[in-house]
Amino acid sequence: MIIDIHAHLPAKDRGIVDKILDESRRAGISRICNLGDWPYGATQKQVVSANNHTMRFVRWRPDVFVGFCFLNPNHAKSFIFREITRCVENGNLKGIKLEVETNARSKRLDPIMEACARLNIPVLHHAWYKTVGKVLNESTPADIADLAGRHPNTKIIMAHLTAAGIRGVLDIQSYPNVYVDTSGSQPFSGIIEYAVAALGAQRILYGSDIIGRDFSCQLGRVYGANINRHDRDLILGINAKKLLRLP
Amino acid sequence: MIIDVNTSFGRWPFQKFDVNSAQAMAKRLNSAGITKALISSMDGILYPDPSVCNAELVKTIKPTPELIPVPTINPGLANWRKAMETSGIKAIKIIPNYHNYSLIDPLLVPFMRILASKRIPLMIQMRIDDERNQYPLMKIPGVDWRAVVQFANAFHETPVVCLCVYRSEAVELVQKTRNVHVDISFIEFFQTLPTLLRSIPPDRILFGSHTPFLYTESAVMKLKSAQMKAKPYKAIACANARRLFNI
Ligand SMILES: [Zn+2]
Repeated sequence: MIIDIHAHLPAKDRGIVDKILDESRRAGISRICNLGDWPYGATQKQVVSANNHTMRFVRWRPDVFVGFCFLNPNHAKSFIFREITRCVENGNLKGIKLEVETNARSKRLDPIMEACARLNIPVLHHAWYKTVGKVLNESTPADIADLAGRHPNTKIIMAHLTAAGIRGVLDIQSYPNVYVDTSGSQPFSGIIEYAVAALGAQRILYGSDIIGRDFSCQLGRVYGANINRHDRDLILGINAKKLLRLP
Repeated sequence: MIIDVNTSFGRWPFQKFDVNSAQAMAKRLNSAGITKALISSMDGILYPDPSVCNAELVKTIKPTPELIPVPTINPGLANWRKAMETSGIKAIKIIPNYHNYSLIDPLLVPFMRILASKRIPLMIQMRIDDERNQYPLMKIPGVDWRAVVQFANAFHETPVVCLCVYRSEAVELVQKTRNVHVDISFIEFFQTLPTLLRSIPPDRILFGSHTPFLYTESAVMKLKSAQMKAKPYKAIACANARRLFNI
């Protein structure tokens, strides 16, 4: 079983989504987790719209799509809680997605993290160690470690293993509530093996970052890694199934 | 049959590789379905005289005829003419960004004249890694594709193969020249090859995996998963390389 934990389905192009479904079937991927499709600095209206699209995808193909609720922590707490209630408690979404609007060290994330602990849902948070091209408030793996330390009862999926690199793996090593997805950058060799040794395969989840990436290339890094079959199966789907509490 | 035009051998300070002999390298490539590979010394990227590394590589890969050496030449060094005297060279590689010269530098004129007279194709290593993930004290920007266009048009009789180009660069390079080819190692988008083929013709695209920097399987899966006709598949997998490098 293969579950892709990191996908961005284009909200307004059903034709492409059909192609994604087709490609995923050919690649043996059974479930795809949509993290939404939003602009930087999303307004409340844009957040609602992104989450509506994700919920629609899940309603349309509940056998394939899983979805996360995108939030901008700069919005008012009342709006954020309303959106969590609407999309997760009363809706069909199974986690929270945070991007670069707010750094992971910010206290604005605390109420969201507490809600996730209460609802027992994970947060998928963007992270990258950027030498060039860093955007305002973008989080590094060290920032994610800070967040994980403040909220040990909330499960965090840190995005982009390759972008975290060895330094990033070490940052999160002693925080058992942090998982990492395999997406990010080109399929540089050695990092999956390093992460399996440092974190254990049970903390690593396959993710493609489609539609900007390709299932083939992204699966290639997991199939190409020099790890045992059991660890590979954990990474490809077993871990995600457990984390998302899928049947 | 797949011919890989982008492989390297040696040591690199930022990654550890488990292919530490020519036999292991050939085995790795073979197990991914690659029958022949053009290979360069990665020691020659940073060691001040790449010709020393070229000689070492030739010695190392002697027992593996499926690996074809591509010498790295720095035309800015006083010994570059001597380094080109070896017979039977299939291609020559330059690494302008690491060797600190520009493609519009006049020092390239005599170099390109000799290359044309010997009918040897030129490989340009555009980058080794993702600039965003480089060690912060060793930032090496990728080669500027605009300079490559100018350069390739000025020396249009010599075929140029640009390695590790991004998709947008590949499209510009191929559309704005008649002699530039690209490898697929860094090109990625949803349905990588079918998407790429909508912008550039198959006879300008070559299979390259950038092994061992990248997981070999990623490039192989990009190629094998692509739904395309037999002719473009064969062109990309091996026919273009066979024609260009006379393999
Ligand atoms: Zn993403």
